[in-house]
Amino acid sequence: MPPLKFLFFFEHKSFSMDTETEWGARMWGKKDNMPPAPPEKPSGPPVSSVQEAKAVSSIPMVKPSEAERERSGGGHALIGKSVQVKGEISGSEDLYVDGEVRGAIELREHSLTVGPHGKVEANVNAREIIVNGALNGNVHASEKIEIRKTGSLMGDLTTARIIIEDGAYFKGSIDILKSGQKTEAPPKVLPSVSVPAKPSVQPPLQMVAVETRNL
Amino acid sequence: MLGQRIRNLFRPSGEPSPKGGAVWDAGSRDADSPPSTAFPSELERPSNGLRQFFENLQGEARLRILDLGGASQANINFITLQGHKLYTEDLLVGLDRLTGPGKASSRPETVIARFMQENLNFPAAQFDGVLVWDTLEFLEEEMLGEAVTRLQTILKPGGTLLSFFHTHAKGEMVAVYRYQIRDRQTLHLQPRVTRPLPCAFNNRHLERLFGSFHAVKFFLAKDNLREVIVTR
Repeated sequence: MPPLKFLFFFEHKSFSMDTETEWGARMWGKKDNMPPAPPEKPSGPPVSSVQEAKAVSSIPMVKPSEAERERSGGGHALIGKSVQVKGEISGSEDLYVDGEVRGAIELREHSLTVGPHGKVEANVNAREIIVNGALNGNVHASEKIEIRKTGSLMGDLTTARIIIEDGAYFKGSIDILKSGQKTEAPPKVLPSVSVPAKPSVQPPLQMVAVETRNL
Repeated sequence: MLGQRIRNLFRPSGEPSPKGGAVWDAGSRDADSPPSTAFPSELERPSNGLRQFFENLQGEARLRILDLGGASQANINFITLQGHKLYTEDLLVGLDRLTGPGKASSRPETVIARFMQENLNFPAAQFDGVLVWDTLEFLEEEMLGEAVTRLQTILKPGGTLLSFFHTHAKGEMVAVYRYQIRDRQTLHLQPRVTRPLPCAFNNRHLERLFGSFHAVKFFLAKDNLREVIVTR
């Protein structure tokens, strides 16, 4: 297996994903045989001189199912199974994690799906959370949490609705939100890494310190 | 023996163990093991112990209840719909992570210390009620003593604990169920596996086991299951 060719590091908020292209071409799931996407015209002044790295992985990505994509309206950020993230992730689109994430995930009105190979050690705040892999941390989902039969969740949950399939593993507490009730989001596990001032256009996903390694 | 092996092939699969929490069963044992009972089917049964458990908690709101039988959608729905907060832990999966097949044999003290570190590790007086189900009877004697002491610590004064004990002899294979609450006095029993009883329990044993609690009450059911309500 050829070694991974990429290592990228985001220190600013200008990172965005092309949601028009094919799934495999986006973010870390870009296929080698696809033609490179034409460079986008900048909508505003550049906020940093740091260039966005094209991530190319030799490891095939596990994609979210069609149903999951449809449910989320098609806008999905993807962290492939060879990717490891340490730090804070926040965004305004759905996120699918099949790699390793350690830190905090803040998606508020969007959903987080932990894929079958995903390992997340983070406090999570999202609208909906689906766990097929392992999630360790306190979780707040305003709408629902679903732990599938291959999933494992350890932590304290606050949600309006919870679905646990037979065979799923769960250890922790469950607090059901009544309609209209609001609770504080779980505290962040890791201190947030300082980020430069926000750009004029809010990017769909903000990431801090992304490391990749061949797992 | 061959028939038994064939039956095991077709029986429902046991507790899945995606995280290494394997629960072994009669099928994995050889000829000199104790004879296995036939794999049980799902059933529904009334439970006086459960009725008593909820009667003891009645009138209270926003209680903290611990379920030691693992995550169950039915129990989550039933308990959270009453406005209580539910905590879930699977004591048998926790046990098998340390003592199941393929685990390196450590000294008993080490195993007990690790078990108590990884399980029932809650602040003192955290819970108003604990649904232990039948998990305690599969712990070895020393571990059982430690677990009961810890349960007493994490229960609030006046808190209630519901535990089940089979009336079978030591070493006999018994069915381990997932206990799902249907209503305040009815349980749906979903078989997980069968496993041997490390100890036999009669009323005297149980009184001694829970001797440091405020009160112990027994219900002996027709299906050889002793339901015990213990109040701290």
